[in-house]
Amino acid sequence: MKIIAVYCSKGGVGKTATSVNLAFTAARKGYASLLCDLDPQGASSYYFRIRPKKKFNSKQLLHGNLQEFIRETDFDDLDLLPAHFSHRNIDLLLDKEKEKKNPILRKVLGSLEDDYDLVFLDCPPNLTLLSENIISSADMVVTPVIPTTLSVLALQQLLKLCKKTGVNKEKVHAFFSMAEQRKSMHLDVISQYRKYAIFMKTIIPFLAEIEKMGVNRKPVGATQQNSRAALAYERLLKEIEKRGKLR
Amino acid sequence: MKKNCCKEFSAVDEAGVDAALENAGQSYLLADRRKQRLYEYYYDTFDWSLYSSGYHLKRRGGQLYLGLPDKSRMTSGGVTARKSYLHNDLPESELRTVLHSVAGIRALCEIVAAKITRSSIDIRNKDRKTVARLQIDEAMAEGNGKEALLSPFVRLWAMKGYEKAFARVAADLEKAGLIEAPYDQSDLKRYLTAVGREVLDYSSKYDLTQPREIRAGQAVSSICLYLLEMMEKNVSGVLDDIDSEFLHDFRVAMRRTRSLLSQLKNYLPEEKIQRFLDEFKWLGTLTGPVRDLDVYLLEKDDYASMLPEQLHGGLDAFFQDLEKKREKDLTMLRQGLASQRYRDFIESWRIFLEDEKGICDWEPAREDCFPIARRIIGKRYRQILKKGGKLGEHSPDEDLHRLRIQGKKLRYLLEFFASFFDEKEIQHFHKQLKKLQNNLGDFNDISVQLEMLEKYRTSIKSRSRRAVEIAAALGGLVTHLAEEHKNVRAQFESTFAGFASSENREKFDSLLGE
Repeated sequence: MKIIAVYCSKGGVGKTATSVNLAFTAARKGYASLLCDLDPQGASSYYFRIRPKKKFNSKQLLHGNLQEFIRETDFDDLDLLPAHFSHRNIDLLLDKEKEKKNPILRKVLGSLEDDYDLVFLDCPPNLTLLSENIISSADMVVTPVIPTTLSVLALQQLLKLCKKTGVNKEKVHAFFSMAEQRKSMHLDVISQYRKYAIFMKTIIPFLAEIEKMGVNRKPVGATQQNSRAALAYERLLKEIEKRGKLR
Repeated sequence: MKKNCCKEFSAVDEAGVDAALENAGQSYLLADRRKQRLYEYYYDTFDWSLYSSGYHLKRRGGQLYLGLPDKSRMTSGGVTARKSYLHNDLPESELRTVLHSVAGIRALCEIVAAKITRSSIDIRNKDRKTVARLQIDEAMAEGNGKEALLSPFVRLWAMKGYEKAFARVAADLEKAGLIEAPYDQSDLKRYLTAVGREVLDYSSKYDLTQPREIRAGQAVSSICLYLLEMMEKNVSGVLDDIDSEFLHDFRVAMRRTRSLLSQLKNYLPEEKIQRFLDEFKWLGTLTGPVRDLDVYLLEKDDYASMLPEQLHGGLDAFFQDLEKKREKDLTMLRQGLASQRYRDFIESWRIFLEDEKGICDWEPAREDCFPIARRIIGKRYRQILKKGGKLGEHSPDEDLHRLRIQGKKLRYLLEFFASFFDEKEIQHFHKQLKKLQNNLGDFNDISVQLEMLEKYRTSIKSRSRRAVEIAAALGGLVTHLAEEHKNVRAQFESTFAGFASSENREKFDSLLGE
């Protein structure tokens, strides 16, 4: 079982779209996949039309009672651990844990080892104890970068966080997200940074069909299997498979 | 990921399904996902070896699917549609290897086919999230020479995390009159039942129990009728030449009959029986040649492993000759089994056995069977001990063959009358006898093979390249087999000593109550 965190401290960079579509694509390829919605806003859960069970909250999550709260999506090989409003205070709970630096998420998810090949974490946009826990628990940290200066800055912050928490920065794999051909600034940033090894080759363009996921409430590949967006996520997963030696 | 929980229901008819769906539709949205037409063909060996070991095999859409005892599944590459498959008819695959280990030399025959119209329905909540799935099968089964429409079959699949919805829908369906299906009812069983067949309706193992108070005549008639049924069940497989075991089982049933009649001849109306014995002899001659060739053809891989690669060409040519010969012999055999003589014989034999005046009313046949069985089994056993005890290192092969035949007669008696004795004791004895018979059987098989191969080799007159190659291969085989022959022979003394040990003798005496 490999844990893949989709993380960026900046909001609105396409984390949820990435998590949902990567998890869906992986499941379709035959990986038994679980998507954990750690963002209290619950956008991933919303896309899959899944609400959390009443008894669920972040305490249950951190104490490892996951099995009974995981729900099956409408798609084969893909389950989801829904978000909960209480996740907004998860830092307070983490703070109470004795050893703060312990990758507690890893321990908690370890109980699912026999059930899944891949676990995707859709992470909330912040730089907190939870973020530290996420990057130390994950096998790979996939981070979307909009080709803008602020977004590149967020990537630099992530690398700094890695250094501070003693996490190997080779775990971090970035890609350009929501890229727009007609914006010259986007093209400039891409050409300036794409040469760095941290960037994967796949670029996810800004596409209406990805935006429409909020209306369809389905991964892009479930609406139209061979759409531009679906194919782009397939390429991205292929690169992740290669970099993470998943096969 | 774990397999989802499923509940199965049967409905009386389509209207029953509609009512159930309407009921479930009051709390949930029902969304038709798709309607498919499926053709499924179920296979097993004639003696149900897959089913009895927890496997099941079906063909669908040009592929084979093998269900394993641990509930996992294997698939083959593409296969052509056939009524039966032998090992070599299947594409090389893991599935083929597994099937071979379970089915052995037996062919996989189509036992039942089903045409299924399958509707898949998603059950959704108010968020339009699927919370359970329904599958409704309307099937027509074909097999056993019949066609039958099954009542609709409904499967409700749970989805992880939506257990409450599953329970609620299940309750709704039941309230509307659907009946939960029994736990162990597989599709195969449902289709078979529909066409009037059952699983495990044939086994090549002798399995007929007799009450202790039965009279000799009644016992003989019932055993012979049972064996006659065995023969008849195998005839169509022989005629269609599906695999070698149909003929083998046919012949074994025949041999058992002859052995029984001759061993109990003092209690039977000899004059009346003689003409049937003559016909059984004729059947033996009719079926012998094909069986003899089958024995060699089954050894093909073994023979190849005895020879170096260079001689395989000659071996292949030899087997081509055997196949040609078998083709001819099979035609003769088919003609014989389709003849009026065969039909008359089987019909009159059955009538004779079913008629009280046939055997049962004959004065000596009115004796109780149990003491007779005890007597002749004891006699046969002591004979084997005596004859076998005299055999030494230099005894002629002939004597071992004779001992094997005695052993076989004893084995048949123990099978026929097993139910008269203590089950555990008789099983122990069976096992001991089997060890001896295996040794003697191997010895006999190799003797026969050696003789035939040598005869074949020396009869080759042609100097053609092919003939020379065959002769070389046979020469190699003979050398190898002669060595094995010696080894098997060398094991006889110790095997027999084990069989005749004082411990076994005591046990045998206690079995017979002596």
